[in-house]
Amino acid sequence: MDKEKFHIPMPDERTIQNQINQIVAAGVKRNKSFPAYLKSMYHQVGIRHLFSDRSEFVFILFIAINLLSIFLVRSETVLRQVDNLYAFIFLISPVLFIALSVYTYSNKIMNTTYEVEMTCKYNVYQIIAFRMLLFSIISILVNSMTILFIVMSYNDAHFFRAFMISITGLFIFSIVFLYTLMKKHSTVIAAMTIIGWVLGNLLLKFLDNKFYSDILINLPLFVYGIVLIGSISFYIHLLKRLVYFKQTKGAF
Amino acid sequence: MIIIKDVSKQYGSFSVLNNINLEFINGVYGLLAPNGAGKTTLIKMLATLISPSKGEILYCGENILDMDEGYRTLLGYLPQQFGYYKNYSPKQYLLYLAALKGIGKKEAVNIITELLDKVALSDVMNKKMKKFSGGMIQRVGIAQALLNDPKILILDEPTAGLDPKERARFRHLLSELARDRLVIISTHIVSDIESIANEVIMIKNQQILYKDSVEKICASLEGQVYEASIRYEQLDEFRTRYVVLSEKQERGNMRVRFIHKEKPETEWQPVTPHLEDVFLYEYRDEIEVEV
Repeated sequence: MDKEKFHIPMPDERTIQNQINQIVAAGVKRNKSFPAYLKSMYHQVGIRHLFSDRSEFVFILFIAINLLSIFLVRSETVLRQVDNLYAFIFLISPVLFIALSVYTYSNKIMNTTYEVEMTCKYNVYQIIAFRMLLFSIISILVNSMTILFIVMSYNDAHFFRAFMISITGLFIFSIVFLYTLMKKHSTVIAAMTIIGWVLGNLLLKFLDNKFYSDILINLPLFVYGIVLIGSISFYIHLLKRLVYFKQTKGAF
Repeated sequence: MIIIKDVSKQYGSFSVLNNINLEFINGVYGLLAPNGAGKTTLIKMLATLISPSKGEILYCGENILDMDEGYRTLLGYLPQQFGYYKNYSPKQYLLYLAALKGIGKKEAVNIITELLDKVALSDVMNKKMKKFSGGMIQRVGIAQALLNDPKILILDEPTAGLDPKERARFRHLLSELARDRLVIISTHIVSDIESIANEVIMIKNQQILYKDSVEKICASLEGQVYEASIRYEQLDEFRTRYVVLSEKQERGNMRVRFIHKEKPETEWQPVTPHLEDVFLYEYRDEIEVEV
């Protein structure tokens, strides 16, 4: 008996590629973009629930007031020299962010509500990422206001340089902080990062004062700009990883 | 619906579960084992709180870890220790969790009213939870697990702290819910699941010992469970010779329920095995250690 031979035409390379793309597009779920994620969290969860803890607001206010007073008191006494002032701004710029982030992190991770919240659509890490982003913005605003007050009483200080030093300090610290938290989930590690930041800056200031002062006073602003853009993009990249973090896989 | 495929979980060199294979469809599944047998580990893996060291868990063919929020949207989970904010009322807390689950406020308010009514907390829905009893908190926990009308409901020791009336109400609620969803309950209390579970899963030595209906599991001891009245002085010797399941005083004597696999004595009365008998028999070593 003659067997009928079926001929299956081999598709060309372009058709194959198109079909692969179609299959992949249909089968692979794409992660939402970071801004889209933040937007949907903002709309679906809402600011009221993203900052559900009323004590957090009291805490923010308390830290902000304290920070402002430290700045103002210090500027009156010790920080007569402008390089001292810039070094102090660089050192202290992430303090508000530290206070808020450490509080929110330990509050969410250590709370007994962790397990329930981790199994919700928007889990604990996504909430933390959202909050940290907002804390950075709050820190920039509070720092800018404080710097504005200080610059008014200093003849040598320039607002823009002080502002750039402050935000660069904030984002460099935020990167180090977020990176270590994501590698090792522990409040001890978080505390060590903060101590490391303070000691590192103080050491630089006192061991090699000239070099450190030069960087702060003479480094061209565009270099600050480049460092700042790099830091912000890396910071956003880390926050994105926090959003898509799968606790269960144990790594980012 | 859910397939657990060759799943093992180790913490360093300590093995909690070893090569577990299970399949779940709609209905109530009771995960029954003594404390420390690995129930919570299995439950946490199903809730994506921890990941298997080996193997995978699939929902409709897709790995639940890869499904990410897609899986969490289908999930209702009550952990063994249900955490809450003390200064919140049940309504506030459920509104907060509803927001995290992506439920709109208007819809959430209706669902919450209905759920709090189901768990008999309507009259305290605006009271702060710091004044609540353990049973009331547990009922808030049950309500939050149902907020998103989950397709998969996982409850770890859900009846802890509930009184007998609340337990009965809870069993009734679960039977109703299980008609069109998968309900997995982990417990070491046999009566919680004996009457409602379509299948009971028992874990022993890090592996699945049984996954079957209550009737079939009980049939494993068919013709081996007896009751007899003995004198109080005979009790110690009796205990050394047979596996005693329960004992109670009865008109000056002791009424013992026990297991014997060989030829019985004439005065012994054969009885129908219950799930509790299988539980006590299979876990007799662990239970003795606990005592």
